[in-house]
Amino acid sequence: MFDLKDVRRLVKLLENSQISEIEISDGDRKIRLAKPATADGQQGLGAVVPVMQPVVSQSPPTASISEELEKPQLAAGLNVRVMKAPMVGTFYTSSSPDAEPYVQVGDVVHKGQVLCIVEAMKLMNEIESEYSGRIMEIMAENAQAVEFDQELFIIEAA
Amino acid sequence: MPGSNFGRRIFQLDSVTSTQDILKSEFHRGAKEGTVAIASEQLSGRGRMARSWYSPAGKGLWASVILQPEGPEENWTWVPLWAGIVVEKTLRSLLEPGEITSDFEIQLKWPNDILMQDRKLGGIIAENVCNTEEEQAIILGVGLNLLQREEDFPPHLRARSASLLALTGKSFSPDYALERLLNALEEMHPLICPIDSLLIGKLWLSSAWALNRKLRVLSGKTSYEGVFTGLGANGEMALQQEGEEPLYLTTTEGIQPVD
Repeated sequence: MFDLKDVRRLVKLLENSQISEIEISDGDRKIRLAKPATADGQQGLGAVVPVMQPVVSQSPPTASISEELEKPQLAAGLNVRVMKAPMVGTFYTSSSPDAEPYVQVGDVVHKGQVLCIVEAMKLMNEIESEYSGRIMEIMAENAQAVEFDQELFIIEAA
Repeated sequence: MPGSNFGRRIFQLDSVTSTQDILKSEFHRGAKEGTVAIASEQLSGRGRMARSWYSPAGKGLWASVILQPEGPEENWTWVPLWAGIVVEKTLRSLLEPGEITSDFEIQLKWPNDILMQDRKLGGIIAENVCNTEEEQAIILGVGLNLLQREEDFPPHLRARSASLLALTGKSFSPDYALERLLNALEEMHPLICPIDSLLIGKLWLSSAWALNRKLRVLSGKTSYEGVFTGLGANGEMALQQEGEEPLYLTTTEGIQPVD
């Protein structure tokens, strides 16, 4: 199922990227978002067209957003990197509850810049970006548990 | 203390947001292990991330210290537990041996609280940071309630917190407590150079609160019930659920005994 919030996030993701098309299937639901063709001749449908329809045939395997991203990334030659959690712990977007978040979607970051904190056994680990680029998506929620290797940030590498 | 590493450089501050923030900037400017910051008052002292640490002027020891443990970084999760042992040692050196009767036993509550009579006397925070020279350090923060009277605590903390004065009737100044803390850091330093997880685990468990008791633990928004049997390979809380494999928890939002 897709709710409006998810669709909005996808539209935003698409708008802020060089990807021309995203298609995601989830059970019997499918969504495809496409951007207008650009001057350099990229494929597109002329408008942002959300398609939501039940798929009657055998459902294809469910894919996560990041898996889907990797395919168009190759197609469009886009440099998308995923920062994953180096440990199990609790994810925090800022250094303290009343502090500004380290980064927000759209921010340009450099390699070595602190992106978030993962707390494990009361040790607050500052997690530094392995890439320079722009934050496309923050995949984890503040103060939530994250697993080892869970995707935290999608970065469009510079 | 001549020849001592801890406290060679001390930033003595009046009122600050947090001694952690001060030392973090000093570390980025090249400060080394043993550098200390102490404040009379912290305006936004930090405990666990979503919680603040109440640190009123002159009523307790609010200090931070830079640590550069030796050994692989995956072992650094033992440092907050090591710090609990250091604070316990500090308290023991403040009180006369005869005063630490079973009534005033100092206990360490996983992962970072120091308890006396089931009330919170102190807490620890540890931040793993890296500077531009690619040097890594832990900024360790210690909060120890010394001189508050019962009514000095905000109502929501009153039942769970206490000061050394309120519990034992003894008054110690923050400066004196800092001196004892620096001694304890120096004395226990070999345990993190390199990190000796076996010995840290053994010492920590010998003062552990609620060991072998049945607990309800909230971790990552899920509630688990089991017997607290010890520590995992990285210092996790080992919880034995009935008829299941032991759980190893890395974080908690709350622990309650159920027996």
